[in-house]
Amino acid sequence: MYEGLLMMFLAAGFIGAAAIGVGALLGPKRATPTTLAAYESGIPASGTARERFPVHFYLVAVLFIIFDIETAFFFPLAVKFGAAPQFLFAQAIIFVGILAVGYVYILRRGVLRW
Amino acid sequence: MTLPADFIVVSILGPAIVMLVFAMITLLFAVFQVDRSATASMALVGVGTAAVFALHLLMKGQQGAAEAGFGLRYLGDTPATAFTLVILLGTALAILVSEADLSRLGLDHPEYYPLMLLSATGAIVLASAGDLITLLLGLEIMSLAVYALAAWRQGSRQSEEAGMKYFLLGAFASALLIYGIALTFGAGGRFDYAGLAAAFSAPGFDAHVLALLGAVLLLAGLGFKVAFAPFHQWLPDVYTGAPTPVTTFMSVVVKTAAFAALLRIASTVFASLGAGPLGELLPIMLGILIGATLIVGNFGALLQSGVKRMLAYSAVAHAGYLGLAVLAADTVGTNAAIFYLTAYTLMTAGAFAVLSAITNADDRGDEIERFAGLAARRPFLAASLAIVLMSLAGLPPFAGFVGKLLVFQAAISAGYVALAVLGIATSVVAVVYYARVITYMYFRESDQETIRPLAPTLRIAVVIAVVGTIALGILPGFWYGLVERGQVLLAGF
Repeated sequence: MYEGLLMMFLAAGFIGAAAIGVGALLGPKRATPTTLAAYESGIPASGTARERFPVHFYLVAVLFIIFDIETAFFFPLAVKFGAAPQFLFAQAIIFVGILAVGYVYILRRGVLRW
Repeated sequence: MTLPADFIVVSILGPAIVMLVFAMITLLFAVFQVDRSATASMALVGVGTAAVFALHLLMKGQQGAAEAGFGLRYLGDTPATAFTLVILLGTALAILVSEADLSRLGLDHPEYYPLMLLSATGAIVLASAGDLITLLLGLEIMSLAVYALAAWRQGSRQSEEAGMKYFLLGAFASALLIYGIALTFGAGGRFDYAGLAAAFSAPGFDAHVLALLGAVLLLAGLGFKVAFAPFHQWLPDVYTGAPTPVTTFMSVVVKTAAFAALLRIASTVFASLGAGPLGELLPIMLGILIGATLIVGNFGALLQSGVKRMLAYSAVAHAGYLGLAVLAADTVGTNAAIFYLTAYTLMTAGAFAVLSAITNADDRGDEIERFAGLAARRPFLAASLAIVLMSLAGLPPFAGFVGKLLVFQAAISAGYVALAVLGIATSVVAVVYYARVITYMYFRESDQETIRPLAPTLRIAVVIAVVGTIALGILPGFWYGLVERGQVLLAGF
């Protein structure tokens, strides 16, 4: 029953191990300060990451997740839309409506104001 | 006339939908800076509308359920709608208490009423859940809002500590509950209680250990919320640290919803496990929890010098009495618990309302000395508090007496005579600590500062609580009959 899932875990583990293992075995090893530095989107690292961040970053991250979930919710809805169009349309509208109230709330409370 | 199926679904979901809509309306009110008392009125209108829907369902005695895929069920039967009504009553009383005190205590942030309504929505979903997923959904909606409310007093270390403690232990309890849901699903292959009960009592069923483990974890997770000892540790600190209006809400609404869910699971899943080879273990565990709760709650309350903390321990003790009803949940226990929780909502909200009127500007000052000579200074408050405390102690002719009678009766009829005797014995202890407050109010001289005038909404809350406590005590059949047989009984049972 769960063979497919097991295969997927094995394949994922294999790909991960292969990506690191093959690189370690075959890749050239030159230890310069640049190659040893932590990779941070190509920009040279400066200072420690353990600082106090403004709480705004956190709020924006939470908002991003909420609206990300909204999108994720619509994919299965779109796939099954033909099964019960009126019902699913109403459901989507209600869902967006609730989120819209939340959106008005965060706008009015100045969460997106910097 | 037969109604289309969709309409029945909508009417079952009615109370929860109304509460959700009004939570959003109050949120919009709040952010567009509509006057706060208008927001409070709107919240009360929402609670009233939802109550009309729930009362309609209760009077019809409809036994239907809204079903979704995967065996998810939202119930609209008598226990679900009766508990919904109790939750709405508790919410209304909490709003009235809040309205009197929000600006005085510096709690006046726009999110207050929306969060309270959202939490009540979650409580209604929790009480109406017919499967484990809906249960979890309701529990989290209810709890997340209350965590924030518990920490509502900014700058108050006590309140922050209460919120943090409640959040961490609540998250821990949720983890236990989710693990229990996973194991129960693994054993029974279903999420809905009825399907699980059928699977557990089917002839070929052999996953007894897994099912028992799942049930124990479900019991532990819900045990945190209803505060069975030894899962009660958070409760005294959280109840004491949270602002009094929020404590009012937590102590009545959260407790009612959690007990509604526990009773439902006990009457289906636990009861069906009872016939299996390990079946006798679960009632024994529950019995030990209840015995410990009765002792810890009552003796803990005896040792407190602060009235708020005493009421917190008394909430633990009452969880023990309600536990007696859970033991008999598949027979008469559920109806007994509905009555008990109705009475408990009225008297506890009444007690916290009076406490809220007496505490000083920063929500402290709940020492028992502050109640000295209250009868001479504020006869209305003193008499009200005396009535609800006597009811909490279980003295006739008040509602608490009938509630205790019903749960003891339920426990004895289910064969738990020893626990019922322990309950009666600890009730005697309870009289001591409730009577101590009454003694201070009536027989001690006052040397305290004057108490500010009573806010009108607080007066309404106190009057509702006191009148309800007396009315349910004198005419219990009025509500019990509606719950038990769908009709109003005018005398006796």
